[in-house]
Amino acid sequence: MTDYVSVNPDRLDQVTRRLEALRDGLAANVALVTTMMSQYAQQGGDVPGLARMLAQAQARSVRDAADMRARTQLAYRAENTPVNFAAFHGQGSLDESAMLSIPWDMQAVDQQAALADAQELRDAMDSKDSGERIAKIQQAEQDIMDHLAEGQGGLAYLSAFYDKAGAQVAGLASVLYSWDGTLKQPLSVRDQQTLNIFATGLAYVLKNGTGNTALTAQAMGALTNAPDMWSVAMLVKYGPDAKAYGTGAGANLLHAVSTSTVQISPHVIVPANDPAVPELRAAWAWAAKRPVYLASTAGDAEFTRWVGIATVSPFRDLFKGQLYREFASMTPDFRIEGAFTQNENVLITTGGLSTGLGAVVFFNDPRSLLGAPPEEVEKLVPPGWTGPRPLRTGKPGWRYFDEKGRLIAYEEGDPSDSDLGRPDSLLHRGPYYKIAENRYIYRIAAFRNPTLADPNAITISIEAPDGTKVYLNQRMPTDVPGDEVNGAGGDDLGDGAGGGDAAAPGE
Amino acid sequence: MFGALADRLGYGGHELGMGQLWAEARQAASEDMGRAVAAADAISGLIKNVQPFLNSGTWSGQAADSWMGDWNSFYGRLLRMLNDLPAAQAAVVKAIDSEIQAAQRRG
Repeated sequence: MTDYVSVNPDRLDQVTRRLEALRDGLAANVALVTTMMSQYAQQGGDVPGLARMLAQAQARSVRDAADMRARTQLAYRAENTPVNFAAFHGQGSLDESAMLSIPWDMQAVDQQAALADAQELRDAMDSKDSGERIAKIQQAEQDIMDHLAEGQGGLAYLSAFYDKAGAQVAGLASVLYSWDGTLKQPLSVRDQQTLNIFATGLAYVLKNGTGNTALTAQAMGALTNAPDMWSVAMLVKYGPDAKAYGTGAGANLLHAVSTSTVQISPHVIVPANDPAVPELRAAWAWAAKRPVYLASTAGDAEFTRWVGIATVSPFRDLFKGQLYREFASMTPDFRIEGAFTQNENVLITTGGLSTGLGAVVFFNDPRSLLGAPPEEVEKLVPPGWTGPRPLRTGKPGWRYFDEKGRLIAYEEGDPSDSDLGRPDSLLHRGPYYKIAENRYIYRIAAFRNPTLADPNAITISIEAPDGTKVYLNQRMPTDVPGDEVNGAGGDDLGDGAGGGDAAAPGE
Repeated sequence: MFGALADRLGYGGHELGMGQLWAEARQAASEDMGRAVAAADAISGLIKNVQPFLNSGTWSGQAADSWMGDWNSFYGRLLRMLNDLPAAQAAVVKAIDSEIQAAQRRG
């Protein structure tokens, strides 16, 4: 049961300041005393037991000061609640003898402080007053750093804080970004520092929390299934290394971030960790306001808008590499419009503003699946398809299909498969996709397939309806300087591939 | 022992006259212990600085009283030990004087 104590906040603050001075004084002087006692011990310079007592004092002084500071903060917070404020500041003057009740044991203090800090973070993120929100966020940063400095002793507070503020922490990057107002610049260095502190505290809890100090399922859900996973991805991006998150709940969070996508327009999704997500959102908001004439379908209008974004919008610089060729070149890829019209998702990545490795992934262009992770490809499966189902072979993987005979399967491959001497033998020894459409069968190297690391390996095989096979040494998109100007940086699957273009037959 | 002390203090032992060496070694030991006593006094002052606020004007409740009792007990013992340090300083000086006299007797 929690013991409550009546305290006078100002006098408690005085105690805290004096305990902090004692802590600092011990830190500054203990070594000198013990060194001299040791040096002159043979001449009688030692006081028996003093060195041990000083060591104990130094250890407890840190704890005492930190605990009393936390109690003082709690007392001041309690003082400033409306019900107590009148008692302390009634009749226009401060009642210096007034007392109020706070818990004494540190677990309860941490719980209440974390609850109050979480509420303050919520208030800060809702505030229109930039000074207030900055001050409150900086206060939360300081509290996190203070408790991180306590090591294991700070875990109860940190756990309680992230448990109560999981949703706010998940949305922090998004809010920091929006406060800038332009929606067209990366997170500032200060924002990145803020995210680093919040992420470091979170990683510590996820790695070290067990039992009562582990995050609840609700708090984890707020982070791994946040309304804006881009925001969580930026928290992780500017946070500590992956190993700081541990192998349990922290690893689950990192996995959720790396496999999440965010919806930009009705049929365009983007990996959550793409840094240009906010700009793509702003770009779509810009395009959505523009009228589109003569569009025959909603998919046609959506495609026209994306072409407009890529060619005439203030956001056209985002379109580099393949992304440029597909949307902004003289011959945009109308298979994307087809995907929109068929209610299929298209995954685009900008690769960030600096790399120029923009890419587009969609089923109508099977080669675009080259090197893509299965978690992202699964999100391209159109609604209404059946799956995921296990592979018929019983091997690890999944498959989806529709009533028209179209199929997308992911097979993990078998590194021990015997080499049958076929050009695509290596392709079968790692993860690959199998797509069946219009009686063509495509096998495409997936993320981590060994062929992706071999510049001479076959990465795509195409089997035509008559049984003939075509093998391609298609490579992942790379940054080709200037290719967005002449549009000649990449090769196309269908050309010279024996009629292997996925969308051509039967269209 | 005295030779080791002189070495530690950096006198080497031979260039200076023995009388001067002994005097400087005695003074160095006294100053070393004096600095330790000053550090202990600083700590004692900081402990005493806390004590006036540990009373019912600051808090009221069994948990706080228990914490206060433990704190006072611990730091009370520490204060008493710190108070013994000037005597230890005097003991060091006295021991060195004895060693000097013994060395002088040995000639």
